[in-house]
Amino acid sequence: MKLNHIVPLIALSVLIVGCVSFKVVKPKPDDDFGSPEYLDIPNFNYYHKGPDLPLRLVDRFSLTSAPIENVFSLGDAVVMVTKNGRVYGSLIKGKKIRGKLKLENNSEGFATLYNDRYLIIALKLAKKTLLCYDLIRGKYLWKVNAGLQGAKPLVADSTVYVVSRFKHTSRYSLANGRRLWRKRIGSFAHSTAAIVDNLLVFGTDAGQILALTRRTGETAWKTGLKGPIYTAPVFDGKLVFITSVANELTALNPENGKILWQKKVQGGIWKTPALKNETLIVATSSGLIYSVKTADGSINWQFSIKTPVGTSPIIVGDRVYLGGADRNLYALDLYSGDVVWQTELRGRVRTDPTVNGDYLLVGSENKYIYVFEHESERSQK
Amino acid sequence: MRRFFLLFLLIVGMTINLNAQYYFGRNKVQYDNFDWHILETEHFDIYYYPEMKDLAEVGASYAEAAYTRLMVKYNQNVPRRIPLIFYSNHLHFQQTNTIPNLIPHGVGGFFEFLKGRVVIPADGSLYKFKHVINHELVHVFTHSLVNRTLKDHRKTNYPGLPLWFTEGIAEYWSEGWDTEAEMFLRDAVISGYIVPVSRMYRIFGTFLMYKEGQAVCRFISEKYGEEKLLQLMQNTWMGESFSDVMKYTLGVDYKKFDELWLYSLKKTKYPIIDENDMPGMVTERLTTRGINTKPTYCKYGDQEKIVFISNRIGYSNIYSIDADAQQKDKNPQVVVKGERSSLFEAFNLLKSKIDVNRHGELIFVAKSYGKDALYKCRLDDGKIQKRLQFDNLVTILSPNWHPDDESIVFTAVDFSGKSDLYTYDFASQDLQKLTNDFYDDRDPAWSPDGKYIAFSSDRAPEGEDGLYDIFIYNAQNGDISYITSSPANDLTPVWSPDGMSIAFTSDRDGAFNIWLLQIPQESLKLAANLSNGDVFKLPHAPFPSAVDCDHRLQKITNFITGAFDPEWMEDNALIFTAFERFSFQLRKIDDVNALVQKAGVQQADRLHKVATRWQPTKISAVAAVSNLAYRKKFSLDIAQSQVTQDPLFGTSGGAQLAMSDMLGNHKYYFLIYNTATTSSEMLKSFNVAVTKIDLSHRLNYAYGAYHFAGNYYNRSESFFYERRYGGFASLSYPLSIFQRAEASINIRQSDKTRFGTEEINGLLVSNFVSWIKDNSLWGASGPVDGERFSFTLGNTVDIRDSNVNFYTIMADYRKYQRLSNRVAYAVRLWAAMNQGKEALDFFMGGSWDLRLYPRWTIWGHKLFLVSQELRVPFIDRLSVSFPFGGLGFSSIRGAFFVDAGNAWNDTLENIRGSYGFGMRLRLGGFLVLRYDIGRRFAVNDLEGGLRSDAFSFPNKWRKQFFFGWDF
Repeated sequence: MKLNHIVPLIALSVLIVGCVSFKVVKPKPDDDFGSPEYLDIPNFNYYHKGPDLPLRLVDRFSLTSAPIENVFSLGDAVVMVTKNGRVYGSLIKGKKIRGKLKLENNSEGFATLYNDRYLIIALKLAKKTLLCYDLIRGKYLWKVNAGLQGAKPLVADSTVYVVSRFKHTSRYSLANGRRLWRKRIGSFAHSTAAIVDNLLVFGTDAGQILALTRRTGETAWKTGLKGPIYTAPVFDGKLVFITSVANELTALNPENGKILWQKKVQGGIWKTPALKNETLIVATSSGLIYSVKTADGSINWQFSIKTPVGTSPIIVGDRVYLGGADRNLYALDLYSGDVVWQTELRGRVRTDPTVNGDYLLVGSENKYIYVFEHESERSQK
Repeated sequence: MRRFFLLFLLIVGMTINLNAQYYFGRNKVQYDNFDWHILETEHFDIYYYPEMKDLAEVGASYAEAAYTRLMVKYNQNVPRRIPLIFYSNHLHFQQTNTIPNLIPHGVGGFFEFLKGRVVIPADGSLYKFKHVINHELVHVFTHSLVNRTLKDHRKTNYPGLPLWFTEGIAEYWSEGWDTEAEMFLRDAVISGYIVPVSRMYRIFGTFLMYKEGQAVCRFISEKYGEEKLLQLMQNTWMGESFSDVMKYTLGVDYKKFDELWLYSLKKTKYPIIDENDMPGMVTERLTTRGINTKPTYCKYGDQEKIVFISNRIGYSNIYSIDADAQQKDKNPQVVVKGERSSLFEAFNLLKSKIDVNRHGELIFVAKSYGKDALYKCRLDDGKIQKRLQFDNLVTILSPNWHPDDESIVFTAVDFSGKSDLYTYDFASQDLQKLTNDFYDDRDPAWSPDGKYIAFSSDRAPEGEDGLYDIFIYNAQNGDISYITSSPANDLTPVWSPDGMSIAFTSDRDGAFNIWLLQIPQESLKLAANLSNGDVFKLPHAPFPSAVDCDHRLQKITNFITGAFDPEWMEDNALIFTAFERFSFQLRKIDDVNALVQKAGVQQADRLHKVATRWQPTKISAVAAVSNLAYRKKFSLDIAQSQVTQDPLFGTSGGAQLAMSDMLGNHKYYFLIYNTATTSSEMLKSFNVAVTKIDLSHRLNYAYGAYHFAGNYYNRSESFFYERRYGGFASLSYPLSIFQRAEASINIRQSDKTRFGTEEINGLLVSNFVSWIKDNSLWGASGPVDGERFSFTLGNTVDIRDSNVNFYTIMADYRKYQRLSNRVAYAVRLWAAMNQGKEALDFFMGGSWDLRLYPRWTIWGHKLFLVSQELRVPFIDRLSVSFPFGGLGFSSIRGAFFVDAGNAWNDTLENIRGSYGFGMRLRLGGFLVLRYDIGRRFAVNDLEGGLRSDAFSFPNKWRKQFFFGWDF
């Protein structure tokens, strides 16, 4: 091959690699895929601590399309996935996009960040619908065809659990993407699974709650509720809480799936509730936010924003953060439901708030990820 | 000249044809001057006029409730305020300028997505008003969701959702499933014309498409889950077609879905045949063609007739047939011709009954000059004896003769939108209002003794859910009593000749059938005795009811589809309208007694002893955010830029803008273009035009100014440069929907340079007056019945230098005559003349006038054309299959034509002509492709007289392909 062919080829390769990969600045240990019983499942939507109120807007990232329901923050970096199948990486304190990645078919997807390093993406429409991307090395670890996806993958005990739209649930090895088991579930599903002791629990569009054993995928129990169920079950160590679009919040016995109590709410529940101690925060499409006692389903308080709640509620210390279709980001007092802070963004708020140290990140449908910090931080800096 | 001509047409055309399509067209007449107000609620700006304030407040409440329901269902809001424009009745709605189209009777409301407007008429029934609000708001939410989804996925030029789905889901999520939808589906499945989803394009935009869409959505909801309907919308981005989207959402594409859906339909509908019949199998047929409804039987003198409304020839007419004729459908006699004159603009084919008294006097309702009129006419010769319009009554329905043959009872919707019962006495000319509330009172019928009026109404508690019961109005004391009460629709009561029973239509068993209620007279007396005075004047008083009466309820037909408008004949026979094979036809049951004896007695209704009235909720103007008088706010309708490249004229660029207010009454058009080829020409080469149009009153007007400059070409003057600037104004006054008068004035400076040297300058003033008539009825490729006429006089004068001074006369007459249902003869006579100094030429030739001659190759100051055409069906359906797919065409029409004409300046020396056959293919409802093949002929040397050797018929076949509707 002549030199005048090689040079452009190298330049092209560099360009391609530059376009399709990025590296997170913060170095990470090249560790393994977690302990076998990794149980710190981020279903609780709870952060012990975050920035103090009031917040002020520090920065915002402009994307090519609306972000999906999650934005990820690790160290001083932020990873953003958009509805038109792009992944962007940047530093929280830098407006500039440092790296980007195009997903197959420009497909919308659902993403989970594992161990601050592996981005597991489940795509709605592609040939290879389950991807594991190593953010440190800037390359795909593996890609597999897991069926068309409709919910966020769950990563636990070195494996990835996915509930596919077309009636299957599967478990894959996080190390190499090998399928460990696959279970036909007989119904469409758009619910993220949750780990409940040694069980994998999730809901289906038909309103059924299924509990499969994590190791083999065998059915441990199933319970019929009013569906569809689009949210992940929440487990507080004693009870499993399921919410449905059919306006119901249900507490189940994790051992046998028996219904312990049910609470009717106003509006469908499309977003996974947040849990802290003995309180569940549930948000509905009619704009109501309920604080519910986990013991018996009684209501501590309720608050209305009058438009559908666009994000899962997030508990940060004693505050509940959530975004609404009215373009507002709210911070409520966890114990009274009073609005302690709110700000209006430029689009409907649809990406769950995320806390990273002193920063709070949230996305809106007008293609922005906003970064907030405590109001006094900037003046001090 | 072509470019100039197009620009000029764009601007002046907009003004001259303010509200008509092109040259002819019917008119949208602003009969009423509405004083618009805005009621601002939490999510809506509600436009209404003060007369309908109560209705607007109820509508506001319905809209907010629908918004909350849909917000929860879609899990999203609509991120803008939604303009809701209300009209109190359909005839007012037909005057809306929010869209330019004429609105037919069947349109119940629409969502216009350019400005996001929802335009809805009430029609007497609050439930229907609520239903339409819900239906249109489903469109608003769907549009918002799909728009957002496509934006999120950066899919800009996406086909979006198919119409059958958007309309289907709007019906399903507003009405659920109802008897009407069930009737259409049963008929489509059992009669075998159900159209699968994969071929839904064949019934695009039809009522059947709406109902099938509704059925598909129901099937998806029941088989896959209701959430799948929402997911189909959210997944719009996933596929290139909706079949793909279905596959990614439901796991099945169109083909598989059709298999499942059609099988499911057959499985549920076929067993119905076991215990029910299609009307055609068990009853005598009276009519066959078109839609035939509202039969009434009469006997006067030695005449015995059935009178009905029908659109069997396309236009709606009132017909009569002899009741004892053997072949009744063969020669029905037209009593009143509808839809051709301003007296009878339209009959309400599906809602308004007609009646004939014992003197052979027909009473009926027709739309006339913007509102309904009552007509009394002689059945024998169709002569109108009386025409009545009432100031405050807009819609009038179902007049019914009193047994004294002097007075009538009818339903009317007033300006405020309330539907009530009225009586009118022809002798005393006394109009009386019998009910006065917001309930929908329909189809009143006098009892044979003239003491009671039976009618259908939603005033029962279940009326809030859109259900109707039968009531009796006691004419002696004004009391209203129940006689039926069921969770179903009991409609169109009619008394038996002996007054002992009432036949009515009810969907109690899942389909509309005819039921019989036998009521002894004592029961009616008892009902009256139970009442406590004038109940309809006491808003919260309980209804009295014929609760202890000895009622005998029987179902006398068991039709799979539906039967409506029963009407007694003598000898115990009953005529009615039946739905079958997607058509409404008149049918007859010869012996009702036999059916009564066969039919079991049904459990009588449990009539409410004490029933509270239902009250609609309102958002009052006080409670609303604000209530303001309407103020015009203009927003953009169209904005487009354009760059054109022409090898002759070079590159030019420009933009067009159109703006209008929320009600569409005021419009601005802007056009800016530049045809400069060098920078020095930039300033003088601007083509600019501004037009203002006002459609808010019956007299429409427009005015504007323009500046055009550039190099042009026309066949008579070759190349020239012209700079033309000036102003214009035009008026258009619709005399009715069929006729209008127009006038325009145009003042402009014209500086024309030919061949770079010859200059012609002038300050030109043109005046035109026109009279236009159009009552044509359209078929697949053009008019097939009626007539169109346009007559224009004008003059153009150079008021400064007298360089130009000519007058214009133009006449264009077109007549269409149906020879049979599908064959029409059409003739066009066109003559035009520009006479005087520097008179402009007329152009002729081409597919639109003198066929088989090149387009616009014949010109002169004078012109005449005679075109004759026999329009025939050619190919009803054509499918072309390729290995990679197929194409389907429907309604390919044929035309045998003969044209003759010419254009000349001084002497007409010869006549050119052509004859041949053409094919017309209609594409997508707006484009007709035309292909003509034939030969020319000529009549030469006219000065020498018409000799046989003057005719020449060249032996050469010629072909011509173009587009456009038939003349």
